[in-house]
Amino acid sequence: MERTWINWKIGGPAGFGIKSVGAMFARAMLRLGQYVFAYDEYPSLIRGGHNTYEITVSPQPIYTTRRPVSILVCLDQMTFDEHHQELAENAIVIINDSQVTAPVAQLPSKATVHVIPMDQLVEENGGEKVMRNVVALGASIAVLGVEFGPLNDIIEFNFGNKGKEVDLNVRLAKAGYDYIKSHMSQPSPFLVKTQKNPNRLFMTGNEAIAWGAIKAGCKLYAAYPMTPATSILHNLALQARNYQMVVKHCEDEISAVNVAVGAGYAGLRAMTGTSGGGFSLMSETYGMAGMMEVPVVMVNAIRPGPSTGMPTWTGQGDLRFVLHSSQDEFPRFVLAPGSIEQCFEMTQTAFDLAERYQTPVVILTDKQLAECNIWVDKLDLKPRTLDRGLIYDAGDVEKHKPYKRYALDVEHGISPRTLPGTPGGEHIQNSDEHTEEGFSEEGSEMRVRQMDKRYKKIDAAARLLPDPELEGDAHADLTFVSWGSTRGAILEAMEDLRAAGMKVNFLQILYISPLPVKKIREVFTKAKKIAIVEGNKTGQLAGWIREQTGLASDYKILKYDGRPFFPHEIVQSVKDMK
Amino acid sequence: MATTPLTQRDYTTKYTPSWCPGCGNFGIMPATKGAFAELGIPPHQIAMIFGIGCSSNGSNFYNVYAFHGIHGRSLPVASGVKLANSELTVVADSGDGDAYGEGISHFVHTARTNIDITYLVHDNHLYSLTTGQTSPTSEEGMKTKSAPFGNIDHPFNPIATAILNGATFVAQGFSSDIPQLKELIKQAIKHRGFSFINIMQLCPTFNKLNEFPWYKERVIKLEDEKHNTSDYQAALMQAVRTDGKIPLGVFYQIEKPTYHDRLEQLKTPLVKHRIDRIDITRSLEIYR
Repeated sequence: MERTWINWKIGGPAGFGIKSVGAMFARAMLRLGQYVFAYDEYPSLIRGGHNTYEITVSPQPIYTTRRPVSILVCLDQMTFDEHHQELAENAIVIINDSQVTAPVAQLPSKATVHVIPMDQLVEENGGEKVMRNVVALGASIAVLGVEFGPLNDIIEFNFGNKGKEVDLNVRLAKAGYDYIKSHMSQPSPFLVKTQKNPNRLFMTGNEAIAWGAIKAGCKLYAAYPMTPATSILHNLALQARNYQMVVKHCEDEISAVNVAVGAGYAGLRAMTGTSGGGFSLMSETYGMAGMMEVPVVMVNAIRPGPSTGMPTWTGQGDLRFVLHSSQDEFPRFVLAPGSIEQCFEMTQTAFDLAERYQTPVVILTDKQLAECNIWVDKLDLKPRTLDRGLIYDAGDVEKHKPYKRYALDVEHGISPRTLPGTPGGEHIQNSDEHTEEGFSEEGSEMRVRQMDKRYKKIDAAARLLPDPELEGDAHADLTFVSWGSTRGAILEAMEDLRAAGMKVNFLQILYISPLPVKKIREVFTKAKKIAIVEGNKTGQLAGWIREQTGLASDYKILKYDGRPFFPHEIVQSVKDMK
Repeated sequence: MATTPLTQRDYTTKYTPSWCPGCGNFGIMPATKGAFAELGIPPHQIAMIFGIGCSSNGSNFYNVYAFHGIHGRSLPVASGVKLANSELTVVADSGDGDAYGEGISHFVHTARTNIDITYLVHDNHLYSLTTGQTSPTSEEGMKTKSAPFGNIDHPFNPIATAILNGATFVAQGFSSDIPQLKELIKQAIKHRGFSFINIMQLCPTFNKLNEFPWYKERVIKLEDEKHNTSDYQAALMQAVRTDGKIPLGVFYQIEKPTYHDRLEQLKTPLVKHRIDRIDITRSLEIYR
């Protein structure tokens, strides 16, 4: 079945309620049984600036934002001026008559423009100017040939029990809706048909990480706000009472990670989250946790850098940074989810790995995954067995005297921990190189043995962690290899390439470290051609794979302009391959 | 069941201290261990969080749950431990470089939380482990390896800073007066809330300015001055006195709700919460 989809995009100055109206539109589409992917662009400003929200709607599962834009709603002139070149040939443009002009010369040949007196409709219905967004929302629903009902439900849902506000907003949306209905001379090319509504969820990667952490029994989250990780803090802060956890907004990132490590040492499942700049500050403690063998989960939600970079935009430039962050060497556990379900699942896995291997575990995500609202059919909410790792209680300590915190003769490099409060298990947890008991020690032999012991963990994990699955055609002309949020654009591009008669498949690397070397060798050996797709300048995963396996890809498809990959760009890159 | 009284030996490891002969740490350690013993806190109930420095090498010499972290970060780790398990006695132990250099923001902000931990700072007015450079508490004019022509910066005032930022127990001790220091540490541990003791300390190897006779001329006892420890302004006046005297004793102590008092989720130690069957089903309804 060929994919059908529309991209609805709304734009206006910050403060025009772009995001809230976008969310209402998306939810209305969800109620109609559609699959929805919502992407917003906003500048790194608090007030002012130009905001857009675009929602790709499809009756089939959709994994990223599709371009070109089908319906562009312009609340201001800048929206038209900045985005008219993104329009589809048969696009519909909805503009506010008092604010915007859409010169015919700048429109695609088959485009239609609907001029709506938004301000007038707002005034007639007793609303305030800012509410023109709701008029535009009603108009958009009408263009799609949809009943008004679902929008009515969503407005009620959105405003909760604020009676008067609901009535007014419904009235304004209806005014926009009716205006289109009575002025539309020809049927819209973008009709949305109602499907069964399976009660899909609609959430961001950060929300999925937050809920994954709660479900995994995370009892402490310590963080300093930094886009695009901040909403993990917001979500968990809101849930802290409900789930009896402590969420601490610390004075800086260094404090945040040390609070989390302290809690992890004392026996809690603890997490911290930040973006690259914050991770830089945390890097010394990241190494400390590796040296001391303390469990902690760290989220790095990537934004383009270096330094402050582009705070509200996306990229995948921190992979190498996290693999090497902090001085010297210790086993790195780096996880890279690429979908909402994976964010939810891998966050839970991260806590198991952290406790099992007594080590920091980093979850890499980026703005595209962290902040986009994406459909999800369901999350697996069944209780799962938690792996708390090897912890000795007082009885165990008595049985295995003398207790040695960093015992060398152990399986998988995992020495038993004792938690503070356990009689007989007193020891020193040491960031200095140390003896089996934990005392500071600089002898060459002990140094080598402790290093080797720590590294056994990554070898053990490499054997135990599941290999990634190759998705798509068995005998493909081209194999994509990637990590993180690029997954969505690749899955979409694969559909288009298949429609054009090409066989393609995709290996998503979920565990960056330990890297599934065996599986990668197998895939690289069998594949006809390999293209690595990444949101960075130098092909960091490609380099890491080459380093770990000696194998190189045939092509690199790289993007580092702060925007996510759009499927048509990947398709074009494939067409351009020589 | 008869219990044997605890002694300093119960808090002592087999590791021989590596401090220089005459180091003030040889006074601070027995005062601390003596306080633990007299308060009857068993070693396994104590978490001592250290940073980096001469004093922090003490982590090797205390038979408790010791944590030898990184420079300047003992307080956030200590906060994490206390948040996880409020049944533990949590003591952060740092030097002046640790506490007032890299760790200064943690000092100010942890005081504000009034979390129930004790902060002991060994203040020898120098960075000694790195062989004697200027520290935040070095006096103006003091010649060190990093200020060979004399320190030109104004010295940091830890006592006033602690009082101003919400610490609810603020005291000053001296490494050569072990009995008084031990009593101060006992009071600090018993205090509910953030308690802080700045401990004036000798460094016979690198600090030739602030030696024992220098202190002897300057130290006075606050209790001899009939100082009212609950008087905020009087405490500040003592902290900023300009007569060159070094007051020892409790500057300030008040009762205020602790961090744990303010959060219902901390009524039971977090480590004792069950986490194996957390059900989030109903909460996810908001995402439909």
